[in-house]
Amino acid sequence: MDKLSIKSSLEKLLAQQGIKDYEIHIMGSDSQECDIFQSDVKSFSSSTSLDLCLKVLVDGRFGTANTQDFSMGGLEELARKAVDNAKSLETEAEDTVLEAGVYQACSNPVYPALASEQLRAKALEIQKSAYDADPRVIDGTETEALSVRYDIFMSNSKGVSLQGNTCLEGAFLSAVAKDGDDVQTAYCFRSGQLSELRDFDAVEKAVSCFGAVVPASGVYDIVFDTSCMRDFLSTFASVFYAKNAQLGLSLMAGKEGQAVSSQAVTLMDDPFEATSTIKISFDAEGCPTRTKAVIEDGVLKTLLYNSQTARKAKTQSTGNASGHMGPVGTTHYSFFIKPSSISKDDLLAKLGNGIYVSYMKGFHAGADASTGDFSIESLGFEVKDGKLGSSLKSFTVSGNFYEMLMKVEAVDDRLEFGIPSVFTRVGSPDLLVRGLSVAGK
Amino acid sequence: MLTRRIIEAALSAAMSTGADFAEVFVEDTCAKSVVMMDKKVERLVDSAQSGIGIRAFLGTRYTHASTSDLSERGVLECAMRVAGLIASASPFACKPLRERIFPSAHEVRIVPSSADNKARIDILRRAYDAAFAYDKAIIQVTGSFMDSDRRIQIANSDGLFATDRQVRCRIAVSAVSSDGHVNQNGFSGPGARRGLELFESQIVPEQVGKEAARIAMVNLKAGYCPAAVMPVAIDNGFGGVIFHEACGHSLEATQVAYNSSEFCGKIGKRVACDKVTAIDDGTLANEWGSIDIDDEGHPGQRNVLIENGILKGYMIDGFNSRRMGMPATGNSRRQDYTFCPTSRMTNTFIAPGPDEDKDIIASMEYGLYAAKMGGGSVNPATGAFNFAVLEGYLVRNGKIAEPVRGASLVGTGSGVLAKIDMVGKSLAHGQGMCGSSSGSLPVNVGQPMIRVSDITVGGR
Repeated sequence: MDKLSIKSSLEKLLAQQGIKDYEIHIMGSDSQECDIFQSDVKSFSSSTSLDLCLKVLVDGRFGTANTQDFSMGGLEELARKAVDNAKSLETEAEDTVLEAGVYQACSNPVYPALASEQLRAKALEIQKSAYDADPRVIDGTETEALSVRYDIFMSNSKGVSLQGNTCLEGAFLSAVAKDGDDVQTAYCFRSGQLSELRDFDAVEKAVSCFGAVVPASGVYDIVFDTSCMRDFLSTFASVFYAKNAQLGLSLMAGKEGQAVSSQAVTLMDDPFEATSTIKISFDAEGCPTRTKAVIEDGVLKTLLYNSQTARKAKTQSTGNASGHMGPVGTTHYSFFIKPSSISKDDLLAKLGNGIYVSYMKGFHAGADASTGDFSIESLGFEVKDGKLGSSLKSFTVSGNFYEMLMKVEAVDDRLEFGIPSVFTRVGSPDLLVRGLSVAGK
Repeated sequence: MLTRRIIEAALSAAMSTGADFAEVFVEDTCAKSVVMMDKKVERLVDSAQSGIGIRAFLGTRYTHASTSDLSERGVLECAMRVAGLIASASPFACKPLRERIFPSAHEVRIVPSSADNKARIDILRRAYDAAFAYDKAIIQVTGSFMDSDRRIQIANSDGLFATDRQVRCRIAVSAVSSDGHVNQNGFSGPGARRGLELFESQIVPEQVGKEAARIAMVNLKAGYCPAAVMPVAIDNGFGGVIFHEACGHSLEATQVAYNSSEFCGKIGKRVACDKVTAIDDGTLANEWGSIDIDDEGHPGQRNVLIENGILKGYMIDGFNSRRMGMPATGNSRRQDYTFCPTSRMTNTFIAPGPDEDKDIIASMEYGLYAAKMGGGSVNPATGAFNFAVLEGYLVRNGKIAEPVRGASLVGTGSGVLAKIDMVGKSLAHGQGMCGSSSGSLPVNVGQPMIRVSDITVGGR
């Protein structure tokens, strides 16, 4: 059954129940990946799926149900459950189906479809380069090359009909290196057209950690690697969601127009970021998306709103509704700290003496978005007189995200983005923060 | 669910280019979730997921494909995608399917799909209101109720044809306390492989809400935990997450078969003191992580991983058993049909030991008592782990003293295992969702109180 047939069938079913207002979201995905172990293919995987989400408006509330069963029986069950769910909600009866807006044009690159042989060849090439890079690379080192495509179709009873698609090709190298009893691992992900991907530096990162020592506990000035800052932003992005502020779960509540960070920080949310392959011109309510500064030179300019939270705050949606496959929530798009013009070397020179934190792990357990507190296992390097020194291991960096934003002294020019997820990704340059607690020996 | 004819055709197609083994996994899962925020039912969603995952093996290589299209054409195209990625000169044949029925150890009296929304909302509201009523400083509560009813068919070219039905329910409350300047959190989230009868006797919803609020209030009054290397007593129940993360993942074939575990080649060797026995047991009746059969169709098992400090075994799935030359242990699991199954934990715990809890606390002149653990993670290759302490207290002169917050525990799996020097008598389990390469899965973690002689405590 094609999308328009599904829509037509659902419209008839809903009309029989007297439901006039609805949204239909259909998401298709197509992915394939190839994994290499030692010098051979370990596995090939491919997946195709089609998901349907129906939202029906009953007495001012959207009821939601999802299915992968597109038979008439499946659609009937879907409609029944969505209506039931709408009737059980207790939210303010203010939901509405939105009219079409003015959408900014955007297009994502359309890479030619990859043959499995191309995936295999690229993955083998990366794996070989890892073993060639250093004799201490050992088995356990793995490469994965992947290709993922999403397409989203959204239609509602006010005549909105929107379509978007994303395309991601990338490869992931997980390197394991051993020197005596010292085992180190490191990871590297690169995205872009698969055939063009290079500079997987996981081996370089892993071997640089040999001989690491545990630093003394104390208060240190720190430069966070871009990868660490991306983890911070992923973990704490939700503090910029208006919903959390309205629920008292974010200390950004009531701070719009006020300084919430040092002037070194400008935080952008950009659904049209130039290097992105996941651009999108509409959100999950059918609202147009737009580029915005969330923090500009340290001042909180806006939180991220969908139409529900905007209505409550008596403002306009920022086009940040999530929920193509579920109830409306909030999302960010390409969410990143703006880089400056100074180099990483200059940033380390500014640091002078302290720690360069190169890797952090365990944010899901060691950081709390509602309090801002974090205590995270880290790896890194001693920095003396602005130069990287011996490698450091087994220490935690602790602090509070809200306080840390105020302590950011500078950022450099090395903006890098992490692994995208459908329409979202985070990016950051390296970032200098003064005075954080380190627990070592 | 698919007919036997289509399943047989799919297996034949998947084997048609020379695979030496093929497997079909069909899934039809109905799930419902209810979320309360701001004292209202905020979200209510039904999700129906149905599809097929097909695997083929050739030696130590596999291919996997999945589709949500369960039409005969969709299934056969999926099988041909699998076959297309494998090529061998000597094709193997499928054995005839022989249906097998596995007994279930998990009685379900009230199947969630037979209950309406109100039944779930009533249970959730009891927990939710109890959390808010606990203290005026509780400023926000998020409550959720989740149930799932998963039906699976598994067939393979060795002739296995099995079905299973897996019902689970869970309630979770997250409470936030505030003094106007600082917010703190508390969480409680029990669940089981049961129907809604779970909330008639085993779980009292009000206690779930109160427990989340109690922890949030303790943390609001707590100072920051000091950073130091010190002895730590970790209490029973969810404290078992330390074994799950620090050692359990490193004992999964997913790591061991690829030389990516610090426990490779250590079967028969001492890895802990003789007070430590660790077990993964998928057969426990109605427990959150229990299985009748795993997602390859092997019956669930009780696997002793460490016995009196000696490493006895690993958790092994069917594919990796080929690489390791060791039998599968009933640990192959997948979040859903789109994921490729691999070795995963079920209900993993440290068995009761000889020590009294009071003696463990009394043995510490200065240290940390971790009453409740949060989540954690591990790098299996190096064993490096980290955990958050959800509710902690300093121990001074053998007595539990003031509460502290923001603590984390950092170390390596083999290191911490060797430093467990006291093991209590009172075993309890906690429930969690474990994320790894085959997706997010329900697992129990468990232990009696244990003492780690020294470990790095991250704090401020």
